[in-house]
Amino acid sequence: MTLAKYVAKRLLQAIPTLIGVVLFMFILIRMLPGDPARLIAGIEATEEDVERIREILGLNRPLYVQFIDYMKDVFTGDLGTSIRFGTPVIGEIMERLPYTIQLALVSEFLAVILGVPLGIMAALRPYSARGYLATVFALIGSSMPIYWMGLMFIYLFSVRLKWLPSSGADSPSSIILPALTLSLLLMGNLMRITKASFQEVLGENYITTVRAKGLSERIVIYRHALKNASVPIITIMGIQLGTLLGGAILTETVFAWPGLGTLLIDAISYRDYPLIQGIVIVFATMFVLINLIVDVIYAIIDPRVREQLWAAEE
Amino acid sequence: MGGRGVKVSTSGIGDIQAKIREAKRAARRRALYKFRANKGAVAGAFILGFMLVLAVLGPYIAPEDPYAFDLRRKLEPPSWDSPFGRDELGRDILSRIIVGARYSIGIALASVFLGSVVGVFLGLVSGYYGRVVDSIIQRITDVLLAFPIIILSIALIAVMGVGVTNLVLAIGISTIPVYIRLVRGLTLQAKSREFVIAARAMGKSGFYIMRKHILPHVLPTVIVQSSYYLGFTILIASGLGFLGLGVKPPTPEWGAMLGSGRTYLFSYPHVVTFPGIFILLTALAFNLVGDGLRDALDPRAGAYRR
Amino acid sequence: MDGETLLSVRDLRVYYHLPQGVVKAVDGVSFEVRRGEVLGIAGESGSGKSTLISAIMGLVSPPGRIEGGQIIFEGRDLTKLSPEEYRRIRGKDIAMVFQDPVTYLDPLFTNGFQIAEVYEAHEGVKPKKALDRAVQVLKMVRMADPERRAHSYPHQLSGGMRQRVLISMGIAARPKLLIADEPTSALDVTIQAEIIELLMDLKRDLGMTVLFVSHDLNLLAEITDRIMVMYAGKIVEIGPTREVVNNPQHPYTEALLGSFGFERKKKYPAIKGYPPSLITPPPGCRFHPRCPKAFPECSKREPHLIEIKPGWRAACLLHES
Repeated sequence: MTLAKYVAKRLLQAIPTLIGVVLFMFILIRMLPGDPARLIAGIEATEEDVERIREILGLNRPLYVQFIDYMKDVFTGDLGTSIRFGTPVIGEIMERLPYTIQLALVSEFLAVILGVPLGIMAALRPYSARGYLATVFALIGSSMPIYWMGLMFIYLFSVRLKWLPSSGADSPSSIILPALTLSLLLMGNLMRITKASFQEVLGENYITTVRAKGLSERIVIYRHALKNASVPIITIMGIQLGTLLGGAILTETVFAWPGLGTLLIDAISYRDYPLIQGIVIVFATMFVLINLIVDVIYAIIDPRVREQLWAAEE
Repeated sequence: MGGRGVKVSTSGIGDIQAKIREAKRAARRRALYKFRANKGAVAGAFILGFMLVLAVLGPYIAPEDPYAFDLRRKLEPPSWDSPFGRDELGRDILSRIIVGARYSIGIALASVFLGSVVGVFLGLVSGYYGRVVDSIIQRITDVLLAFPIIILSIALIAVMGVGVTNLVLAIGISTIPVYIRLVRGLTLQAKSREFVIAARAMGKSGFYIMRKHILPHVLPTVIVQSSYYLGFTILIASGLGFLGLGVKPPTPEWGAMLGSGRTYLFSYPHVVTFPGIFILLTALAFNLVGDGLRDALDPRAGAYRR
Repeated sequence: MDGETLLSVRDLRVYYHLPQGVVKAVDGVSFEVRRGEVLGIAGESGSGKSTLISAIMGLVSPPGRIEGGQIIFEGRDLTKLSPEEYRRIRGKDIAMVFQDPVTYLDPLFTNGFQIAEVYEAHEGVKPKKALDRAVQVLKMVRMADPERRAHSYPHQLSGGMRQRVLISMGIAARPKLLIADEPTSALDVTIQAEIIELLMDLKRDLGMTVLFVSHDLNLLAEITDRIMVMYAGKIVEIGPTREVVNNPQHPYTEALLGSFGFERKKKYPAIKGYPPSLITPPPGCRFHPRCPKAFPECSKREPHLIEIKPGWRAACLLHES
């Protein structure tokens, strides 16, 4: 078993879940009370409009045929047609997706480069003010309504200090405030876990071995302790991905960031159900895929996990 | 076979029951003591108590009618007359926050209650009966867990529409799968323990065993998890309110107040400052209490944190 | 070359400052190690022998602190060195073999890499470039199939093989002094014998001086030139192995010898009672509460190391009266 094979196997395993996701959304949309076509079109719509929508959604055929057709479409990349724009849903999504990915990546990056070193510092001096700060910071971070914090940032940095743009994605500096906001959501927990796992790892016997060989403290900490502590840190990052994606929707709305989140909120206010369906499916797919990536990273870091997984897969 | 407690003489059943009661009382006292020793948890409990008072007595202690608008006084900054200032319709923000407590906190409590009751039940059934029941429940859980909680809630609201009941349903349903996973794992653990094996050997029914033996084993973890979820749910509910996907407009839910007030952020920041502080404080209080409960109820986690 | 002093410890005191009080783990210990000899250090857990070797390795960390005394190695007082100077000695001139092969190897790095790190520490070569030298060392410790083992991870090896990896790290830089901390206590009896033989052969081939720490006095009797017995942070007896073993001068040494006999399986000596608290040690002789030969004077006066014969000393009031 190789890494590539393992990844392929995990991808195959993800397919039933993704089919389930599509089925769930399909049923959910069909659960709208009344005639879905009429509901989607709105009360002012003409009978032709309603008929057009019925045609688009294939509502005049048996339910299971509708589902199989929809499934086929989804797996060939066709997520239907947006009612509001009259364009393919997939096109709308693809236009916005890069912004969301960019925001998520920059935030995660900020959270890691700030949270991990701060956590390490706190672990090396557990009884200092810094150690205490990490705990308090983590607690406040996980209790903070980030949309509110985003608003406070806008007031401080855009309205008062006039340093940074408050909304949109027009200049390169536009991403700073939304990314900072979203990263603070992740940073608290990341710091806490980094601190806890570092303290645990630094007490391990193999760390004494590294010191006894005469290696410098830099190598003790950044090679051996960091690699061993990274397993729980990555676990937390994996668990937080849902928070990251959910937080992205709120953050995008606060800063009018043109990503999938703002598209979703717009779609809801226009009752653009094919678009809503498509965006939610894309979010769920991203979530499933990133979780898969986290599992693969485990296997790369820890030879024991690697062997266990591969033995289980054989 | 685990034969713990086999050497019980028949004469002293009453004694033993009294001893068990005494041991339980002692355990409760110990937990309470540990909780009290945790300063953060006590502070959290105080904040929560305060918020609950607001939630219960809201309309009676609010200085003004939270719905009465007065456009001549719109967006007035904080003053002696209205300590938190007035919103875009001239309503007293302090009064709205006080009355809003019952919505924000009520929604969190109700949705966590819904999610935990359904999730615990399905988790118990799934873990205890195994086989087909388990596979079906687990496949559905897999699918629901593929959605981040906020996104699942948004999708449900998008279909069901806004309103207090729908908000509770949406958030409650979104938390069910997490409870199922948690409780199923704990149930599998408990199933292999002597007290369950013994009860099964005695021919007790499945529901009896689940209620009498497994539920008490599962409950401490569920309680700790729920107190964290309450903090999380406050944030999600107010987040949905902020997005305009929460309660219907005049309702003074804190997140909705932020959402409708954010247009005025540039010139009148007080409109969004105060509701946010209350959301933060409430979520913080739930998390502090959660930490305290974890240390007090879960000996393993407590030992780990020492 | 033999007989010259390699390491000299003078009045060493190492204390741990805990919230409950000060633990005097090593409390005024003085001894010398001669070049080329094998010195055994015996004692129960809690006797201070582990703290003593951490102090020699320069690995005492808070809440522990060296309170006083000197550790003179080849004429230099190690307690006066800067952290960087100490680092250059550690693993090169003074190296260590740890006791538990399971927990002392980093699970996430290959065995070869972990051995090659010794060359990184002292010669500045990247570990990946020194892998073939790691394989050479594995050959020296008689590891079967050394190339493959160098590329495998610790969890893929048996306990005995892991111990060989730990020994490889110890000898990789050809140290002058090798400290072996119970290197066989976690192993099966047959493998124990192999490892001991290996260590003794390596000692001879590389011309090392060895400090061998164990709670098993009978094992030390077979392989050491001299034995030092510690109890509650102090030396109670030190002398030539043959003399100490055949005619122990301290009741504790006697007890340690008796408690083992041929029952190697027993992990801890069967002396009645427990080692004393080092925060509030018993007054007088620290062993007196457990000593079968104790008399009233023992709880009042602290015994000093008294010379029995040249090079043989014991701290017991039986010899002072």
